[in-house]
Amino acid sequence: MSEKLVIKRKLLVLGTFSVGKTSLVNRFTLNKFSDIYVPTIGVSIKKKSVELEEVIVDLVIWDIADVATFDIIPEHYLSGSHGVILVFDLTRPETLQKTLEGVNSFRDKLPSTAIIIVGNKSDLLENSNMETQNKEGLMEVHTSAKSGENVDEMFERLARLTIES
Amino acid sequence: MIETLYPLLGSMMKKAMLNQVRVINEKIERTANQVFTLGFWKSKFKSLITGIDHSEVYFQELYQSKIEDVFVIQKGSGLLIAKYKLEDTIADRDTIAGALEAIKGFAESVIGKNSIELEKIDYGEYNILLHNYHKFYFAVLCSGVVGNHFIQDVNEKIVNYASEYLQEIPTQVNSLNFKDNSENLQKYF
Repeated sequence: MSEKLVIKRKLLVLGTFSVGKTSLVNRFTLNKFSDIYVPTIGVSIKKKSVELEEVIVDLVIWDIADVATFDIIPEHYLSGSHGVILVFDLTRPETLQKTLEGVNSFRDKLPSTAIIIVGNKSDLLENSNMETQNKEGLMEVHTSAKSGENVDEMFERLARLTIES
Repeated sequence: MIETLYPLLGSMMKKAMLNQVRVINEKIERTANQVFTLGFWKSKFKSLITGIDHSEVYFQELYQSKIEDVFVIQKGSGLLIAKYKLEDTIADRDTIAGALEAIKGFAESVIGKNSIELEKIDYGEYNILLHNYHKFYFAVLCSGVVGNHFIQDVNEKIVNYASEYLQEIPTQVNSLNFKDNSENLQKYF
């Protein structure tokens, strides 16, 4: 049996304050969740490998601190990234609006980068579809960092998209 | 987990860094002039023979400089192209490489001049020497006192490696044809 090729991908996790960016990353990389809100300062970098059929993808995840607008994110954070996760809070519709505003800015700055929109905190809704196609034509995945629902699947899906793009 | 600060007070930081460098420099010179031991005179003699500055020889002998780890990192993405370790003390080199890229990017954006690149980071008892190429750079983690002579030696190793493998070093680490170059790196360090 031949060994699988290992490739590396840089992912960015972005979104406004308290939408659960770090919780998502912690759930994925450490399988842990905490209810205590600790704002990220600067950037937190973590890594996890995902095994797909053809390759193993080493995901180096840059969890970036809350920013007022996506335009002020330092260029060197964005540089060389293969995938972007834009997180919003399903219980706060205004955070989705903010996220959608950021999409066009990213499409200009990172034209070949795979983008995925994530509605987090699905556990707080009574009924939530786990996946929809929004009006921007982007995939919108719903997750719960608290229960872990759909978190691994979302990262795996993005890993796949970064290889295809 | 690696966390990197992105403070906004760039000019204050630059001033503090310069001040710190001046203080350390003064401290080294003062100590070198005050200590009269056998080791001190031995190093003085070695300095005369080799022509290397006495304070550098003296402190190098007291705190032998050593390469602990070598990283080759893609500029921009911070992804690791190759690595070489003498001792397996660092758990995850991919996150270290990302953190180094974030720090480097921050420092260079604070200074704000595109042609200037960060060349050294002091981290507790360690120094991280950065040797920049167009699409990638080397980060060499060193312990002990890192003097100019040692830096020159490290740079020589890097240039020798790079001149041999410059074409082979995968500048596109994101390519599906990516081949880790760590094996070749080990021959030079």
